[in-house]
Amino acid sequence: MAIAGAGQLNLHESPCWGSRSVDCFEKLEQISEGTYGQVYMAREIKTGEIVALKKIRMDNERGFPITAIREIKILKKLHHENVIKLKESVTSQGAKDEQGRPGKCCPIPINNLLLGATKYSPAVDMWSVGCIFAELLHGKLIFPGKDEPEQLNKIFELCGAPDEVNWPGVSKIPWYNNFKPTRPMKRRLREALGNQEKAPATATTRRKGQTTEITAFTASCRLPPIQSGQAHAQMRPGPNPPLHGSQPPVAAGPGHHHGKPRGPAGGPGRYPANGTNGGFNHQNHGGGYSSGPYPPQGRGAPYGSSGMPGAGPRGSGGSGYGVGAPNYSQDGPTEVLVLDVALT
Amino acid sequence: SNETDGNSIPEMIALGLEIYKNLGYYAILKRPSKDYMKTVQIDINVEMRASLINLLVRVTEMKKLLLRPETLCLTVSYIDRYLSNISINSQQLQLLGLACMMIAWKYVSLKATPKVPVWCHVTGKSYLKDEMLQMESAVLYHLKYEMAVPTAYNFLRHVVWVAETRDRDHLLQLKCL
Repeated sequence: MAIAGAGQLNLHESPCWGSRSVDCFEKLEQISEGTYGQVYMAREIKTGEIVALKKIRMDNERGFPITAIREIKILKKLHHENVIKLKESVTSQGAKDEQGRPGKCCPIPINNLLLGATKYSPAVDMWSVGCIFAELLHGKLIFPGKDEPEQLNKIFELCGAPDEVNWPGVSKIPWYNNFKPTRPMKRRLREALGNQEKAPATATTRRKGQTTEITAFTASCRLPPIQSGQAHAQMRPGPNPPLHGSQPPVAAGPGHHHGKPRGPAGGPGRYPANGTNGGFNHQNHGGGYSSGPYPPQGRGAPYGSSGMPGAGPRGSGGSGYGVGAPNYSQDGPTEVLVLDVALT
Repeated sequence: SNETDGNSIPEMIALGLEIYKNLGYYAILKRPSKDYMKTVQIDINVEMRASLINLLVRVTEMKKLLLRPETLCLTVSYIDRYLSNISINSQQLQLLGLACMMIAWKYVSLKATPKVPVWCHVTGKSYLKDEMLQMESAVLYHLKYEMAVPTAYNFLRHVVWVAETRDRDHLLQLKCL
């Protein structure tokens, strides 16, 4: 950190924050639009380096969003090959941009707490981790509720409604009776997320290789609190881990479609989760989904081979990664997990 | 205190010790320079800082801002960390104080912060919105976005917790101190 020298004091100059202007970069195309701003593929004019430029929306009324502060801070701390590196932050007029490869900051729905539980336990954290994995798979927020009741409803729609059978003790949680769903809802997480073909366009090779594991974990991230120890066991790869040992039955999907031919990612209709209330077409998928264990090939298929998108179809437009940007395909995953700790 | 609900006493002891150690570690790591008034600053002095802090204490007492007690501690910590590295002039000192308080407010409270113009006019002096936003960015940048630092408030809370628990369980007290 530079210390201003004796001669550097200047009453008329805005405070020096030593960072460059966003004009040092040439925006090539918009990669995506996140919760907090747009992400562009850009080229540093001086060096030609391809970077991702994430524009943080400054709240003109309230200044720098606290979520962005956390995101930058955490990104600066993370040094891992699978985590995108924040290179620098640059400014544009009146706004603050952040350059690096894009991060993803997601509000984390926490089921127990939404229902009024006050004890913050490992189960709550495991839920959060599961949500993040699910969002990585899904490519967008999985529970995009505008308020708490709506958020809970979205959770119930995807994960099934909690009751004393699948979550002993749930009826004692303070707000359970206020929020419990009026109609029965079945768990359909695996149907919504279990299909690798649906992995987001931003997915990259290395991450895709791990999707099966992640999916298994996602599926196990169910309403009843799970112990972290169990969760770790579930994350381990391997044929048929005892996912359902002591857990309530889950509507198991037909594996992850490893063996099926991979076409281009489907149209928008294939992601029902963002739809509003109801309307999930359980019946349409119903047949083989709701019963029976995983077909062996679901878990046993080599993660690498069929999971790799390689040069395969990525879905039509909008997939910025890898297109004309050699850096991305070499560097592997560029998604970031940012845990929002706002609930402490 | 209901903070021990759901956790056993040994768990609480272990957690408490861990938290306390961690607080101490970061408090030292993020400690502002002791003599920045001499070594870094030119235009401001100790008295100016003191009157700024007094002013901020009065701001803290303003009901409309709904400040929580730790906000002031964090604000002072941000000010000192900023001034440890960046020389500013006396005209900007109050702006710095308010920008730091605005950030601390955001960090501490879960509610939306008062709008920037409120901060600009909270003291007799008026600043422009852009000035406030620029100062905010400058503080964040120079503090490396590391805004969660332990303050006296955290330590005090910890001590109070131990003191409260002491009446209930002497063993806990002995192990925690």
